[in-house]
Amino acid sequence: MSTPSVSVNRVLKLKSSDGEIFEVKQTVAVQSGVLKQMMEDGCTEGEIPLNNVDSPTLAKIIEWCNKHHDNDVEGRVLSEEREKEKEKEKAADMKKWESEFIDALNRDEIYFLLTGSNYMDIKELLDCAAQKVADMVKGKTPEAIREMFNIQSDFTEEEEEAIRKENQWAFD
Amino acid sequence: MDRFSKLPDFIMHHIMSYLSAKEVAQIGSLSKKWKGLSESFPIFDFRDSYIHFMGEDLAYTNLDPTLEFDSEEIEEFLELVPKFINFVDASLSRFSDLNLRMQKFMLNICVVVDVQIMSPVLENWLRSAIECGVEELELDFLGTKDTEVIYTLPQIMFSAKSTNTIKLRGCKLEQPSNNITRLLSLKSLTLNEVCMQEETIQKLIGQCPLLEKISLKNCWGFKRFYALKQLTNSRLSRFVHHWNMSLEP
Repeated sequence: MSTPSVSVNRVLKLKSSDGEIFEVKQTVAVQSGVLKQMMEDGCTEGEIPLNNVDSPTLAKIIEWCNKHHDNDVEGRVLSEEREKEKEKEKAADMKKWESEFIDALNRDEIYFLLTGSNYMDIKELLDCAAQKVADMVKGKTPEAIREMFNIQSDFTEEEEEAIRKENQWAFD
Repeated sequence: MDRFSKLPDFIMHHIMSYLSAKEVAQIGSLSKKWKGLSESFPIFDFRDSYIHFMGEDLAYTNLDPTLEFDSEEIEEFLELVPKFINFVDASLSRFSDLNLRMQKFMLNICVVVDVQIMSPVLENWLRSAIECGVEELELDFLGTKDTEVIYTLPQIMFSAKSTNTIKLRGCKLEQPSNNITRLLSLKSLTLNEVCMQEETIQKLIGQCPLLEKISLKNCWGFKRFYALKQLTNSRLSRFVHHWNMSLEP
């Protein structure tokens, strides 16, 4: 639902941490809990600095929000039944788009997407990125995960053995 | 650079919410940081665990007590049970030492396990979860409809004062012994194939002040029950029930 202070044509100017300006429609920006709150409080004049989000990440985040916004407004005139059908199709298309979107990113980009979507409070994007990281971990040995994320083990051999012993069921 | 280890704990826990209990334990061996994250993870989801016991083929066939298992499979399964019990015991004990609030405790127990052996173990797990202020409880005793082996939930269940969602399947629910339940936060109760007396349902409806939704599916052990009086008095807004079988066993 849009709030009275949100208008279709107005844009917000978002400034990334490296100083680049991005223009985003207010109707798109409401997907960010933080920006929505700012609009409701009427403090979106001028440039809005997003100090924790760099320009490549912000571009990705806006791409995501634009896509999800388009999906929201289309097809509202259809009959109820037809609309349900259409909704299903669209949900499947969106799932596909989301997985292509997230699969195209490298580990660092996913990391910044996690921190950026958390900072801007965009729940669905945070969920999607978190799911992706979980999928990357699934089915891998601890050694392979360490390598993937550049994690240095700070356990002694004995400590690691103790963990395995305590959680034997999980390591069988 | 090890960026991911620097993510805030709640984002790491969010990522871990897409992993199984087994995977969560495994990543606890990556480094001290990850060990801490794995130990403070407030979701205990053991719903998939029986799959590891049974092998996927068996786990996905409709489990019922009359099903004949290959003796080798049962033996293999029974060998894993003590390891699983130790694992859950250790995870719960580490978590309760941290004084954190538990979000979910979810467990599927396969009927092949002897209920008599499991009873004290399950009671301990339930007690730990309740003492950690668990918000959601889900216990599924896969497909037991046999009165001889059905598991009776311990009375401690009724003292889960922080729990807002309870889902039970395939067990027996007896009346609260001291007539008072302390399910003060319970909003949603889902009972599937649960054996109970009429009074038990009446008491639950009457004594859970926040109960909004109750769903009964294929429950048995009672002839009829009158909920209307309580329903009009309470804030219960959704009441769902389905029966696919006769009311008397």
